[in-house]
Amino acid sequence: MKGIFVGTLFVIAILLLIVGGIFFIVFSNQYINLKVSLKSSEILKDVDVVEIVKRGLEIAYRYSFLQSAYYTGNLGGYKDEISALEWRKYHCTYFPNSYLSNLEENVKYYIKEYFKNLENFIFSEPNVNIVLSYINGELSEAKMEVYFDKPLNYSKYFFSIYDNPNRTILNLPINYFKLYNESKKAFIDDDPIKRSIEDAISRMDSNCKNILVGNVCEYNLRSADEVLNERCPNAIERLKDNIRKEIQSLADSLNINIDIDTIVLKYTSESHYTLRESEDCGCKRSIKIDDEDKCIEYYKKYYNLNYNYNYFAAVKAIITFILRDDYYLIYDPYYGNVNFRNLLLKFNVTTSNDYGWRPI
Amino acid sequence: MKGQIAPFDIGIMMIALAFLVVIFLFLSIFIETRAQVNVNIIYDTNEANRILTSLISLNYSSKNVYELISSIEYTDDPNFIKFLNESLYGYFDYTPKCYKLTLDSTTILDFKNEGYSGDCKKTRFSAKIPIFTPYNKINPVKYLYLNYER
Repeated sequence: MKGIFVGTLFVIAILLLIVGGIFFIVFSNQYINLKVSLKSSEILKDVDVVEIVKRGLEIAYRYSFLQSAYYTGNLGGYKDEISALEWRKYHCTYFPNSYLSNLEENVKYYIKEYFKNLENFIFSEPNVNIVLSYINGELSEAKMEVYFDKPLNYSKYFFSIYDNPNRTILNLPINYFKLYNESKKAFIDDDPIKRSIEDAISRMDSNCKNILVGNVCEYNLRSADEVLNERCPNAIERLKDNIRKEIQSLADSLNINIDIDTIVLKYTSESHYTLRESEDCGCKRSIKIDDEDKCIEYYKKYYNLNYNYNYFAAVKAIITFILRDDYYLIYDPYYGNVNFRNLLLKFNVTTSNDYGWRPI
Repeated sequence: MKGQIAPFDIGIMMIALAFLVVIFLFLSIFIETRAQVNVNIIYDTNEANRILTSLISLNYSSKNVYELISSIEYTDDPNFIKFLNESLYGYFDYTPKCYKLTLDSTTILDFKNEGYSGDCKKTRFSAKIPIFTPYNKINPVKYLYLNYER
């Protein structure tokens, strides 16, 4: 009986060990499976996140281009405020020949701003290349290639996902690029504001430019300023108004905005006459010299006295070419908000009707 | 009788075998059930993300939904909202108790079935994905949230 009892105990012990082993293996497997499931679930969720970001990259690049186009356009095609120059300073012109690379640099900046705000993503330095295509000398297509040296990396505690962030953005607004050519033609190759000033001066009344005083006795002689003030009152103010009107008409004809920042005017005068003694101009006038009354005599007369006036104007203007029909959602740091705005090209010019005179 | 197994021992072994068979059967059913539960966990936890990914990938009148959602704060198109609502509703094979689609703090869609009294924010089913919005200095990347309750 003792042998049977020991044998039974032995079988039960083995049975318990087997059952215990099975349970241990099964439950530890369950634990592992559960962890695998949860991690798989986490990976699947993050794959969706990466997928959405991938879909959004093209949109982020397009927004970056628009923001860069707006910012660079506001600086006349220059990269930043520090490097921005007036397009014209009298006879010197400063067209931003590198406007495309400035645009590309600013696109890079905005793309990086987007990436900075993404959680768990790592992007290498972006490269941006704007490609313009021409057919028969006419701009026909503009596209932007955004490419990276390394794939994007989405990392979490226990996994990393790699993917290709390179994209080509097609159909950039070609009219924006055309603005640069139009503006160059209008304000670098030519100086229409100088012409406007010249037109305004040429349209002044003739009695503001040339005044025939006639024959005047020496003691009745009045200065060129006095005569101008009498025959052509407020000449400078009137000329200023005329210049404003001419510039506005220029703006209307080009369908652009021109805001006059500063306008400085002056005139010079020349007199033409023959001066000789005349019997009818006898005059004695008593004036004090060293506390003594002395008498000065005037006998001379100005014959055919004629005053000529030359006018000069210098203007600093802010020129804005606007893509009026196209609105985009763009952030303006001045207003501090995003709104539907036009792309534009804005630059300053300073000019005058005489490049030798540079008061601004 | 040496070398023969005693009937008692055979009885014990039969009982042990039967016990093991029962244990194996039980564990097989248990493993199968657990496996199904795990698959359901994966499916459920990923469902909201899948719906959101599908929704974002749709097109609406020659534009993609992603772009329209990213600029939704600046536009007011009731037809697009209607389209989103119908599309999202179509993803459910049951009538949800509630669902809510928000872009950061902007609520785009908000549906509550009769009898549901919660705010549909901290729901069992939820997804959160980053969206590139028109550039602004403060926050150019916003998050699109989908919450719903079955």
